[in-house]
Amino acid sequence: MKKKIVIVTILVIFGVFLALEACGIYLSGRGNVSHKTESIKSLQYLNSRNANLKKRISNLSPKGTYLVIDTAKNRLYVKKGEQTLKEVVVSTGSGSILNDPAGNRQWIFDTPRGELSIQSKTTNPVWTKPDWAFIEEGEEVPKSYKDRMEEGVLGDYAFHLGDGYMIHGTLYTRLLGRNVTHGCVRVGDADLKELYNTISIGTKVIIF
Amino acid sequence: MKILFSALLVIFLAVVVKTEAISQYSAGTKNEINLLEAELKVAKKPVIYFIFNLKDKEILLKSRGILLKEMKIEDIKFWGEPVDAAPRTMLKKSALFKEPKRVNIDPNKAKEETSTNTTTTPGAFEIEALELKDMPTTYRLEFHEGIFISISPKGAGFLSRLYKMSSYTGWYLSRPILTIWNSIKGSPFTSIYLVLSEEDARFVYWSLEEKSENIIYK
Repeated sequence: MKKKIVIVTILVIFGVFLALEACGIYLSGRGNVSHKTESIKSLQYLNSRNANLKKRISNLSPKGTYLVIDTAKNRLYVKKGEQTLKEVVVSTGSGSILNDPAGNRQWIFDTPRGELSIQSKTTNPVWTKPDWAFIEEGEEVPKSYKDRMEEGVLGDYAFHLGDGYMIHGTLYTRLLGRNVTHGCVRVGDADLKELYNTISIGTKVIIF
Repeated sequence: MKILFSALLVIFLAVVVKTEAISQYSAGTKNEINLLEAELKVAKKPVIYFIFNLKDKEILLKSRGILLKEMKIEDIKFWGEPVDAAPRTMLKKSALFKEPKRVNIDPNKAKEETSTNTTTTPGAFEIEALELKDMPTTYRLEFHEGIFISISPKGAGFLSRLYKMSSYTGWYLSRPILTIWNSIKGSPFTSIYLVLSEEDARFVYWSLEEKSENIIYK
C-alpha cells in the first residue's frame, strides 16, 4: 500500500513538472522562426547592405597608431590596425574609495574606460595635487595654488587624457603590473620615453 | 514517359532545395545585418561594448568596431523569448557568493602612520586594491527587457561536476515557473546560462560596467 502511494506521488510530481515545462516552453515562444522565400534580387540587396554596414563600422576605427590599455592585465599596447607594435607593463586604478570626512564628496579611483585621446603631452610635468591627494593623507587642503604643486613625482613625461587623468612616469616601479593608482596610468621610465617620442597629440586611447 | 517524369522530378527537387538554401542563407544574412546595425549604433559612441554571440559561442569585447578581446563560451543554455540583436543596457551585476568590495581609504590611518613614522619592509608590502583575481566567477547579469545572463566557471573535479549538475537541475526546475510567473505579470523573461573559463568569467565581471550598452546575438 505504502509502495503504491510513493509511486503515485512520484508520478504526480513528474506529471506536474512536465506540465510546467510544457507551459514554460509554450509561453516562452520557442521556435517562432519563420523563413520567407527570398528572390535572388533581394539576396543581392541583403549582401550589399551587409557589406556596407561592415564598411561603416570599420570606418569608425582609429586611423594610424592608437593605444589600448588593459586595466585587468595592467598592459598598454601600441597598435596600428590589428598589429601590436609594442607591449608595456603599466599600473592602473586601484578601485579604492575615498570619502571626504568634511563633506559629501567621494572619489572612486578607477581608470576610466572607453575611448579617450591624448590632449597634450609635456616634459618634466609638475603635479597639481587635487583635493583628494591631501584628504587621503589626512592633511588640510591648501588655499594657495602654489602649495598644490609637486615636482618629480610624475616622471619625465606625461600625456594628458582630460579630466585630470594622465599617462605618466612613476617612482614606484616595483608596483608596475598592479592596480595601485588613483586612475592615472603609470609607465616605467624607458617605455615612457619611447612613447613620448612616438605618440602624437590626438592619438586615440582605448581603455578596458 | 518515364524519362520525362524523372527529369521533372529532378527539376522539382532542385527548385525545392535551391529555394530552401536561399531562404536559409537569406535568414542568416538578415540576422547578421541586425547584428551589424546594432553594433553600428554602439560603435558610434566612445565606449567599450560586449557582444554575447551565442550563435558562434563567443563573447567579443570591442570598441569602435575594433576587437579588443575574444572569449570562448564553453556551454550555453537558453530559455525564454527570442532575443533580437539590439543595444541592451546592462542594469545590474550580482555575484552569487561574494561581491567584490572596494577598499575604503581611511585618511586617519595615513595620518597615524605618518606621525608614528611607520616603515614597511619591501617584502611585506600589501596592496589594498581591487584586482582581477578578486572578481567572482559565478554571477548574474540583469539586462533591460527582462533578460538575465547567468555566468558560471568551467571547472574540473567532483565538486565542480556536482555543482554543475545541481545548477542544471535548478535551472530546468525554476525556468518554467519563472516564465509562467512573468507571463502572469506581463513582463518579458529570457534566461541565458553561460559557462566560461574561470579567467574569462572574472574578466567579463571586471570589464562589464553597469549601465553600459551591450549586444546579445542568437
